Amino acid sequence: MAGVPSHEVTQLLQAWSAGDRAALDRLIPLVYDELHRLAHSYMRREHAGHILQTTALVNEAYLQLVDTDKVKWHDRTHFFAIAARLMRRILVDSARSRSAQKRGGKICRVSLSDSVVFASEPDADLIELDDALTALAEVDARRAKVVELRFFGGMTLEEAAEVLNVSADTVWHDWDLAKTWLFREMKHRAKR
Amino acid sequence: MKPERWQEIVRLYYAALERKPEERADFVKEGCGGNESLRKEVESLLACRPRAEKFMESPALEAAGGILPENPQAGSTEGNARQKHEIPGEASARSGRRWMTPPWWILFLSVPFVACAGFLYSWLFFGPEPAGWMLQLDNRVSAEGWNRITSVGPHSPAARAGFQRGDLIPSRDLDQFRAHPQAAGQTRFQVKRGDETTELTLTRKGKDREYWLGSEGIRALLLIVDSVLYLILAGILVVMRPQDSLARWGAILLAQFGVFLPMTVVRIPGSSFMLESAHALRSLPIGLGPVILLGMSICTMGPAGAFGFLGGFPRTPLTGRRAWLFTWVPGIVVTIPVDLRMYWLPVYAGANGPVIPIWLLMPGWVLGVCYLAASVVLLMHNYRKIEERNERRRLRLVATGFGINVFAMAANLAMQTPVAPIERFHYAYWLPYFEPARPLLVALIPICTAYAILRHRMFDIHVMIRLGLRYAAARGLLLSIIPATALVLAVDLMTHGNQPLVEIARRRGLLYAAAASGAFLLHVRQKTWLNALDRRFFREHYDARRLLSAVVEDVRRAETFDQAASHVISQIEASLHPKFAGFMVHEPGAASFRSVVSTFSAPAPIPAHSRLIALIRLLDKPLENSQGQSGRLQQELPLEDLEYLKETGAEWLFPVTLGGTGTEAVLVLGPKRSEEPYSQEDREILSAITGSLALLLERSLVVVPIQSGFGECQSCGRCYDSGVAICETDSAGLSTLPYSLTLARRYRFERRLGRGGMGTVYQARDVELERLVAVKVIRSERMPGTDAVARFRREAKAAAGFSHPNVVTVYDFGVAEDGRAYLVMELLSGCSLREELVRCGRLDTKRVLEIVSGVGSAIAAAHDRMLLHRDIKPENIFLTKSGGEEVAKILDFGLAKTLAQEEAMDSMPDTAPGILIGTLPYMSPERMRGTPATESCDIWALAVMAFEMLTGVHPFASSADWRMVLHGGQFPALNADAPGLTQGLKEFFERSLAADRSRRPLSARQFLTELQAALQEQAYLRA
Repeated sequence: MAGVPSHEVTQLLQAWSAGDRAALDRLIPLVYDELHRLAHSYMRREHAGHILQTTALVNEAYLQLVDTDKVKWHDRTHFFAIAARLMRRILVDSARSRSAQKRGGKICRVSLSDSVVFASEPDADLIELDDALTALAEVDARRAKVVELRFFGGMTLEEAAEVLNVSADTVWHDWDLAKTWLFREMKHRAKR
Repeated sequence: MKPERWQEIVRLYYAALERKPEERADFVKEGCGGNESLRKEVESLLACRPRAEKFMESPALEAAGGILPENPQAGSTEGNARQKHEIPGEASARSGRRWMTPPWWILFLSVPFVACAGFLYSWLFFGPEPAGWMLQLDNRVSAEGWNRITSVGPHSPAARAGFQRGDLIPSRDLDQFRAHPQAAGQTRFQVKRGDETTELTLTRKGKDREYWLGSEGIRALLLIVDSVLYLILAGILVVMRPQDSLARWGAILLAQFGVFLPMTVVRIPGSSFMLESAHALRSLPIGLGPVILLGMSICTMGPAGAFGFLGGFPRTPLTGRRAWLFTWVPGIVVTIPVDLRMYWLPVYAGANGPVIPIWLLMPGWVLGVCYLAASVVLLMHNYRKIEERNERRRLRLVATGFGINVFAMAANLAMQTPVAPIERFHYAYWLPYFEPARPLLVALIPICTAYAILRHRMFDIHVMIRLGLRYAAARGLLLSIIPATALVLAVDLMTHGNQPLVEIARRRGLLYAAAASGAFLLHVRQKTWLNALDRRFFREHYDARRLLSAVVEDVRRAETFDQAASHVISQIEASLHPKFAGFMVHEPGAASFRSVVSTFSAPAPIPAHSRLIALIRLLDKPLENSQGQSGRLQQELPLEDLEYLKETGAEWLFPVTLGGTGTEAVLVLGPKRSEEPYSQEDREILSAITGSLALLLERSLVVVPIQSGFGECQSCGRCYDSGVAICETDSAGLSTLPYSLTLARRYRFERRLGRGGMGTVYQARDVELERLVAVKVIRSERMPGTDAVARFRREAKAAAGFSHPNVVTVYDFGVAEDGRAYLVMELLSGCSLREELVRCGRLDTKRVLEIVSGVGSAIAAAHDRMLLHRDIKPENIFLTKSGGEEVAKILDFGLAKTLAQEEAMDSMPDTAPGILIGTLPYMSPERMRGTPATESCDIWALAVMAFEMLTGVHPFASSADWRMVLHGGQFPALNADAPGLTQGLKEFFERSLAADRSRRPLSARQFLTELQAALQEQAYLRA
């Protein structure tokens, strides 16, 4: 939001990094609004032939919200981690609300198979993925986090590695397994 | 799943991946040690791995592209539909980014093209007449070197001089000719014809007026125009879609053709032309000559370019490494000898230079032919493969552009064979018609190509032509009426020239007057009518979108499905012009879907248990039946269903609600009468409409009959349906209101929360989204007419578009069918700042700072968006709890009005004549004097409020008789001895509440910063 002073976000970010949980609660709506606003303006630009890029979007939100001179690199990665989580929330929420409007709350389960007729239902896929990801997080929080960072936050292996404080190689292995597992899980659910 | 089991799966999965694929099964079996379910789990994961490779390849946002709702809170179907159905042009116009900078290499590549075209144009304009012969430069028959003339153009200087096909000219003479080509002049040539040797003089004239007016000159001009058109369209493609590789290929191809075209003007391109222009090329500044020749050389690779573009059309063609491998590398290699022989050697070596043997040119020609043949084959293949009708249209359009030209050129080439009858036919019948038509034919290619690339949705070609002709005819008629009338009158006057003027006026004066007034009317209204014509022809689909979006809104207000259905059908008919449209409805227990509403004849009933219905149920999304498509529908459906579809001619079937136990419905649409396909946008809006109808259909099963009024408890405000006389809770009497308890068929009132100047606020339940909301019903006397309603909508829209953590969120607004205007907001718990002030008197400094910061930041954000509140006061600030903290939220932004409008309206009074918006004790002095509201009035009110919170009294309480102030009295002095004011705060408030506007803080942000500083100082002094 244009009215949110950058020092406010910066302070909250620093407070949260220092372990203040309450700061996160106040930070989230601010970042959510900004990401949402940016996502819209990006989509408008996409009509004009721009390529939509999550990374660029999150970066722009970061520059808009945070006073970059005052934060440490560490805080920056924290911000990107929040952004990934919020992007997940924004996309899944909007998919859910659309889906709900379309058929009164009933979510149509659609498979990911190559069939022409059944494909192209991004909303349902996204909701399905969100559910599957929540299930994954229950048994393996780190791999779920990797998916969140990469798929929703648009991060590269290296960026994700930095947030999670592991090597890029580990992230790659985690990503490989998580992706495979989610794919299989969604196919299973679609069959049910 | 247990964590241990997961760990085991993870370990086995990674370990298996380290092994070769064929060993994995054994390894997993061994590793699981008889645990079958574990083995299955790991194996299924391994099996899924290759297929999951592309899964989540691009981030979610990119994959979801363009489907976020407009507003996080109010993601209504309608907003959604509107968001999705933006016209690309509009959207980009709004973001102001229609043109983009192409990548550097495209700019780099354009240099030789532009240089080459520039040289050719200037040569065509200022160079001498072309000699008009074709020479075979390496046909050396003796040591001296004789060059054979292989062709002589009719009426060319060469023909005039008496040269004939087969004549031999020595290289020596040619070199002389090449070195000194005067713009116009004579060159003598030794000629060997058979055994005799003669001498002929070639006389070339300059290009004079006669030349440009002759057929040759006009043709040259037209081809130059074509060439410019090619280059311009290539440029447009590159600038508008630099990221789209299809557009880049198209641009390269067009540029190649565009440069090649002027070379065909001289009719005999290639080495002979180069020989003539060699002098000019070599006398250019260093470096420019090779750049120009490079441009020509790139044009030789036209077939490779055509292959690259047409081979993949309409999908993305070859890119990256494959593009180089399949087109440019072979293209460059095999055309090098051709380029050398045709362009480079004649210019830089002359007729006596080294010779490229003719067999070395063969690969170039062969590969060129192969590329062209492959383009045609791939184009046909793609056409068969593509199922989307619109894509097929795009492809057909490109194929038409190229096909017509290829056909014409091939015919032309075929007739240049040295067979006497064909040649005679060629010169006598073909050329006179073909040559003038050629520039037009040639222009088809770039127009078709650029259109097919830039427009993603299009009409069929014949529809385009028909529409174009109709438009031209209608426009022509409108424009020609005035001159035609004038002409008729003039002719009339002339034919009756012998009669005196008085006689004419007496006889036909009335007629003349009528004609003149008609012409005058036409002249006055011409612009409007022409615009209407434009709209009629080209803007129809905008109207369609508007109409359909309105339908979504209408459906929400409709009461019964049948009523809404007939309205929907009539609007679909008006906007999309389908051949037919109708709803088929299936009541529970009935055997089939029967037509309830339809245009024209009703389609026959569909059996409810048919495969078709089952399929739509299964998909739960629109089903397209495109005739003649070898699609899967044909395989999925039994013969009787296919027959049914064929008979009714249904093109689209939209499920309204299917699969439930209640009434089911399907919207059936025939093809559009315009033959245009239903676009993605049409389909999305129609889906939104059917979605709303579905809600209606479900609701109509449970909704109680419409009430004639509702009762409201006079003391506690609880709301009841009509028929109840006494409140259950406190047994007080009910006052009856003449409205339905459910507002806009969606918000069911539960309790009155309060009454204010603007209207009454109720707690209500949103029956669609099952949540509690606050609904403010605007007092009816505030909405005296349609003007007021329009203004209310506009202002509510502005408020709803503005969201801020410190502003109450507006979910919805509208004017219900019974005339009540309402705003739907989030339901807050807590109390107003006024109540809090009455309860506590003064608030402590920290709390004041928090409240003022919240309110101030919201006001600042609103001001950034040119929104004013105009009525900030403690009654309009609501204190609520969020996450354990107190949050102040501003209510009633509904009164705001955009600043921009205010300026446009200049000093017009505010909401209604004579009514001043705002509350006197919070109104700034200049506002009381009646100057238009600005940001300063909100900041003033904020300052008054801050003062009140800190001290518990109004800043001007001691002497305020507002009415007197309003009628021209002095503005009172600040109540400076209020309790709790330090010197710093006092100074701050004296500044902020100064009668002189220039002393006050300029913005809400500045106000906040200064207040913070003053309060910190106060805290410091206390410590």
